Amino acid sequence: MSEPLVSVKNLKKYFPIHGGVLGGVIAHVKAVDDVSFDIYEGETLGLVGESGSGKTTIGKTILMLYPPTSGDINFQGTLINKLKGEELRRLRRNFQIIFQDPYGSLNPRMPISEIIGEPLVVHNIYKTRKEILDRVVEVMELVGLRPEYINRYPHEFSGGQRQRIGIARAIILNPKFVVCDEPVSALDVSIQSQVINLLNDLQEKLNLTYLFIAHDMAVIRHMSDRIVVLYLGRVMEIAVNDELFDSPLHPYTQALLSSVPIPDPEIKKERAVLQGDIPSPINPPSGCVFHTRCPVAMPVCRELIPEQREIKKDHFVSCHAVK
Amino acid sequence: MAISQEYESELTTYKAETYWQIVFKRLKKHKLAIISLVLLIIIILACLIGPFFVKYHYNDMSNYDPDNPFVGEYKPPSKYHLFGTDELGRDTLSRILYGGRISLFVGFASVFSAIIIGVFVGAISGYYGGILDTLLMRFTDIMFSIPVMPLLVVLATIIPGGGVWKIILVITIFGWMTDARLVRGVYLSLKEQEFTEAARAIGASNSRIIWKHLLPNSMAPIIVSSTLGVGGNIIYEASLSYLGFGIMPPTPSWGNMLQNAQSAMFNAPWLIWFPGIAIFITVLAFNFLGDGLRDALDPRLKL
Repeated sequence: MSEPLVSVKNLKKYFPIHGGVLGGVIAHVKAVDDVSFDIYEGETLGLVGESGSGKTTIGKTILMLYPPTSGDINFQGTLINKLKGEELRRLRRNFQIIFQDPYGSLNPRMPISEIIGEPLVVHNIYKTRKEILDRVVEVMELVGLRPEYINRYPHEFSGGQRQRIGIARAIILNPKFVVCDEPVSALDVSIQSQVINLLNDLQEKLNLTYLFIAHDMAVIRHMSDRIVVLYLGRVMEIAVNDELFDSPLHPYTQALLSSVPIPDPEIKKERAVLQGDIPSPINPPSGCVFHTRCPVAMPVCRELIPEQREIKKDHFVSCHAVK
Repeated sequence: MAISQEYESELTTYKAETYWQIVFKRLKKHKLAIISLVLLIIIILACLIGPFFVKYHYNDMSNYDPDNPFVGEYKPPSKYHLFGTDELGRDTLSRILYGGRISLFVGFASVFSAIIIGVFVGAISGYYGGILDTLLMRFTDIMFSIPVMPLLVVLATIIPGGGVWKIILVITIFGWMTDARLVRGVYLSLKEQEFTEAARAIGASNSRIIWKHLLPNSMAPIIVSSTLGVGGNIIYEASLSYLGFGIMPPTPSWGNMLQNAQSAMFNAPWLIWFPGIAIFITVLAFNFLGDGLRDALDPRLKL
């Protein structure tokens, strides 16, 4: 593969916890801890993990919606974590986000013409209101919204339609890279497939690159070219879609995949059920963060943080037990 | 899939009501608020156009007439002077209507300027947070801890002139803090909402987010606070004028009419009644209307 479009190196995002008499920082939530991966042009990189594993935080930190604690985010050769104010603002037209919650992410006091058209106004793309509205209508048709809804407010739409509005807002600037932050998990199952197909169509038409965040393994499998498995803010395994599902190497990935129900009552399968809950990211386990729940944990796992090693071509695993 | 799409479009083809239509529908259920609204419209219209229709100018003195016992000084209400006359024989009705213009103008204008300062301070403070927030809020606290009435008196004395603008200025200086705190609180919660993040993600500047995204979403509490504030400021103006530091005679205001009347309280009680009733009804109506709006604009009113 060629140069990556987005390259994330040793990204950390710690959220401070304030407390005590003087309100000082008493601890950190280590939401994202030393995460590295590349995203190549035109692909969909799936990001999967339990709730609390830092999926959304990674997505939002890559877009500099949260300033990273440390690490680099390289977007087409620009280290965007080094950019400030106006420069970053101007570059934002190249990378966009589709939010999880189609209700909270649309300003309730704006008609959708303004919501969808705002990126054009902010980046001074067009001179006249007419040009802006023409482009808004064009994008509305592209995402499957009827143009006559242009003056309505978000509350007049259903969840699926609202998500289409959010998608329209994200693609109106023709971005190169879009973070899809669990775009379907708030929707009815019947609407989910529509939105997923829409995202696939748009990727093809507009040559988009996606970072697709989800916790639903079926959705991830359908969407992704390559998949990153997260646990407690750290990368466990990165592999090409089919390879990850067919021969997962990391014990956490194996447990995660065996939790996916198979829609066939005849098939009995051995399930690797994990004991206990995901530990607190305020005080994560030493060494490998997964060792407290790992079926194959060894003494070394408690001591040393496993390195991310390329076991096979394009298949990265962070585990002492995998040889 | 075709079925669910049809269903989806079915749901949204009806013409939905706008936000303000919903608010007004809810306000209509609040009887007292609607009565108050109607009363206030009548009072405001009367003060605005009433002075053009009354027989006497507010400074005209009705001369003593040996043949007519109802004209002259200190005359009780009669068909010649509906609300009676004062110590100089001036028509009380005309003075009430004209004074109402002054009192209401002071009420509205001082609320307006206080809101502008309060929204500005509160928005900056709530949105940016950090050291700026601490500085602005401690300054607000300091302003809050100053006993208002004595200082109003001092300020009203040292600022020269007895004009309307001086009173508006003085009331504004001590009136913006509640709004600042209110708006700060609203901004603190709004800035954590996802649509604020969405605006940042598309590259909107801070000022665009503050004024274009967050301000329209904080209008409900601002409107309620303003409505209640108009009533409160009419009381302030009346108190200041009553103490003799407000609107200076001969310009009438409801407050200085009361002050004027107290020397003749027992001989000419109508001079107390009418401005007193005017203040009472107006302020009460503003308070009821504010209460009604508070319910109608309830943030739980989901769009």
